[in-house]
Amino acid sequence: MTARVPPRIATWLLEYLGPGYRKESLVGDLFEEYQRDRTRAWYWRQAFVSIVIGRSIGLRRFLRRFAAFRGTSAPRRSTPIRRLLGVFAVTALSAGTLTWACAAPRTPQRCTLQSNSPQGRPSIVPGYAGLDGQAGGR
Amino acid sequence: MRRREYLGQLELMVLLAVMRPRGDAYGVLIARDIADKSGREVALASVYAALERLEHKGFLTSSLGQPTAERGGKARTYFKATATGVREAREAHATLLRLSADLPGGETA
Repeated sequence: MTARVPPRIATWLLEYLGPGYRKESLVGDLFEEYQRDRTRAWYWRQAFVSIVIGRSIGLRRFLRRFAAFRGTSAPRRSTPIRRLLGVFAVTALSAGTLTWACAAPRTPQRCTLQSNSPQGRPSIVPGYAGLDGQAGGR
Repeated sequence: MRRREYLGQLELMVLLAVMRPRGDAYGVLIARDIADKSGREVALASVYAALERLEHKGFLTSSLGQPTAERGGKARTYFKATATGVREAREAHATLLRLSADLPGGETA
């Protein structure tokens, strides 16, 4: 007696996207049950439900871990010392930014206006000419 | 102190199906048992999700069997109820009986 082969794509999807817990046994159980005159639609439905359940379990675990992280970090953040440190960090950052902005040197415009171009129109060439009009780079 | 774990409806059904005196409870048989006794078909993935939760709570243990050709070369996972699981199932069953004892308009078994 030859075994009925269930839909390959459904099996493939189940193996790659299905729930992590005892996946091999779940695929084997579906295979075994499919031999009892189950339809292809039944197999597809079971595979689809398995993938949805597997993904939702993963998402729920992630959210639970995230909630646990938030739950443990929130009280620590609200302690007076942490609040004081936060205020100090924000103040220091603001003061540092202001100091840097005020003390930053103004860079001169390093270009020269030349009026002796062949077209007779003034043109701007890169490089600082200096006070005597001699063009020169850095 | 360990936090008390409560059983959901499907978990209780799965645990009771595993506890039936048969010794070789695995996914398909558990799903068939539940379908026969409750009259509703459950997805195998739901059964496995309940089994995972029960094993995580310490109410079940599992062991892997040998792969067979009739299952496409996949192994079965056999489940067995632990002493804690049996006690929890009995307590949940007794609680349900006590709660349903005073239901209006119906006789309880």
